[in-house]
Amino acid sequence: MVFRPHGVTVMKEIVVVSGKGGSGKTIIAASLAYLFDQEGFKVMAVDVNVDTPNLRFLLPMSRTIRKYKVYISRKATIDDTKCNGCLKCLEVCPYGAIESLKGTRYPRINLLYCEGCGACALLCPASAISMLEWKTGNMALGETVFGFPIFTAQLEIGGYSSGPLVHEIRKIAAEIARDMGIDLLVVDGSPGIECTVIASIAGASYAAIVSEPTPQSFRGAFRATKIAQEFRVLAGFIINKSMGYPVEEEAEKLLSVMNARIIGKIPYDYEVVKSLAVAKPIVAYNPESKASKAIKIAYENIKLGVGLK
Amino acid sequence: MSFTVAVTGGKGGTGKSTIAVNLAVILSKMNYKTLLVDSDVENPNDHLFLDVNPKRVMPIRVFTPDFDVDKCTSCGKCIQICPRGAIALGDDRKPVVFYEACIGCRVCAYICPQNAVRDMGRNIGYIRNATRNGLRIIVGELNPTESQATLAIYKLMRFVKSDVEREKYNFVIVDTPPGVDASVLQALRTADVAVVISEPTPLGLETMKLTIEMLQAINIMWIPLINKSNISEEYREMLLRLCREAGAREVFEVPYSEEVFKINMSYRLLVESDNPFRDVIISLAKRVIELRDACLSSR
Repeated sequence: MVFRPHGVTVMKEIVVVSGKGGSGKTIIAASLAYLFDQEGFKVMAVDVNVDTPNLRFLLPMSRTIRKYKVYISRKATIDDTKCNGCLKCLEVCPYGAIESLKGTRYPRINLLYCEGCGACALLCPASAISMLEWKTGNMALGETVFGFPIFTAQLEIGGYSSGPLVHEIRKIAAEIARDMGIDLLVVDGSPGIECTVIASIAGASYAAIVSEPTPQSFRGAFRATKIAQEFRVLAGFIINKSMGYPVEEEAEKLLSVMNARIIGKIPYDYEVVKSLAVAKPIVAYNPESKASKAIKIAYENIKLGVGLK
Repeated sequence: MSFTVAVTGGKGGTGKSTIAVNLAVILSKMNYKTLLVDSDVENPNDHLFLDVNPKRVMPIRVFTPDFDVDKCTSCGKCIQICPRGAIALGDDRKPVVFYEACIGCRVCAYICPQNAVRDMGRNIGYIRNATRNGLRIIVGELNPTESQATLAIYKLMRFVKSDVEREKYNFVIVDTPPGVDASVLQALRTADVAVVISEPTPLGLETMKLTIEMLQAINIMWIPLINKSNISEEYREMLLRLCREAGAREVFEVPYSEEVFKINMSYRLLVESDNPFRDVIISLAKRVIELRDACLSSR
């Protein structure tokens, strides 16, 4: 099953998610991993934002330990010699991935849109369609310049099943981490509220939900909070780029209604932008900055939340 | 003929929605009949910029199996064939469905030898619409905890297609979800040109590469736009070089200013107040109009 938690009991897994992209997930995940490492925890950073994995830019790899390929998707192909031109496959494709060339009765599968459900292969009366195994993405285990390991994955362009892929990455990352004797995974989740986020949150020990003080971002973050509550994952809310606008107060009220805790308020700080440009987590670039201090407060709260000392 | 402009860019938070909304508003102000489509179904928020409350037009309905327990002989064929592993045998030896994983492909209904699978249907979200000063906006919204964004976007774009055929817009602006996965491809399906938005950070640079690769794979013309262009000169240069090497003639740039952030946060529109952002959007709109004219004359 896709969304089943993978049974990690001893190891703690902290997931950083947000409803909207660009809220600061990666920055916060990188900072948390760095702080845990500094305090002597055995930590591994995991990037499950498979569309656009960015964690490795803030936690640069000094070397790659191992590379993996994931094959969990399928694509349909048509054998033209067997096709009788009935075009039944066009009707059954739920994604409109099969088109017939204009004026002919020869179906063509647009591999970009094919999601590999296999409905066409099953129903083709001439058995002309078969399913091929397809590469879903690449994964890599590396060592960051700070010394702790990082696990990252990249989806093939137009690839599908990000959800199952996220699940697969978390499973493999957890297995590797167990072999390496890691205590703690810090996972950089994906934006949105889709299956990737569900797959990121389900079964984790803690979800840090990051939001900017904009109505757009809060809306997504509330949805992420609901998901965490639905999956009974302990969640803490972090307001990033806080500037003390009225919208923040409104959000705080709503959050207290939803029984969600605010564990950190990170002020807007230009130092963060600078740290991005030199590709370092803010807490490593300038530990004395306003933002770093606020991240440390959130970090302490998370530590308490998952019961680490 | 309508001309479709998709606003995309791999990374979240780079300004896709901001630019899509403002571009649509300015085109509509220039007396072009414009439709704005928010296809970021997981987190649609274009209507928040416009301060309208879109009304539900129709639900996004997908096939969902319902098993007739009297006909079912527990042969297990549906469990084997389900591409998402969404069916399992329950305690009473009858199949049960995990709706979060079901993609509505109907394979179980096709294979069942007893014809015991019926369609009970489920709504995974809604298509909404609203009109503001002559600008029409169609929003696709996925229900929280639903996972079929790609399917929802496919259905949304089909709805948009029929609407476009009926209303004959001059411009259709599509705000796509972030990323380069299948859901983005569905949103880009009808696009004539894509505006690719990025920011000068290592993260922005990498996602720009991926997005260009994707657009070249599906053969769509693209216009790059660097948002927050003054935050890092080094990465701005790298982005510019990347765009030129990939064949872009003109690169639009919007400087970062706190004012933009403030205007956005107070539900006001950037093109409706005086700021540096406005001029860039106007020149972008002019470029898009040029492309449309060129396209129409060649058709």
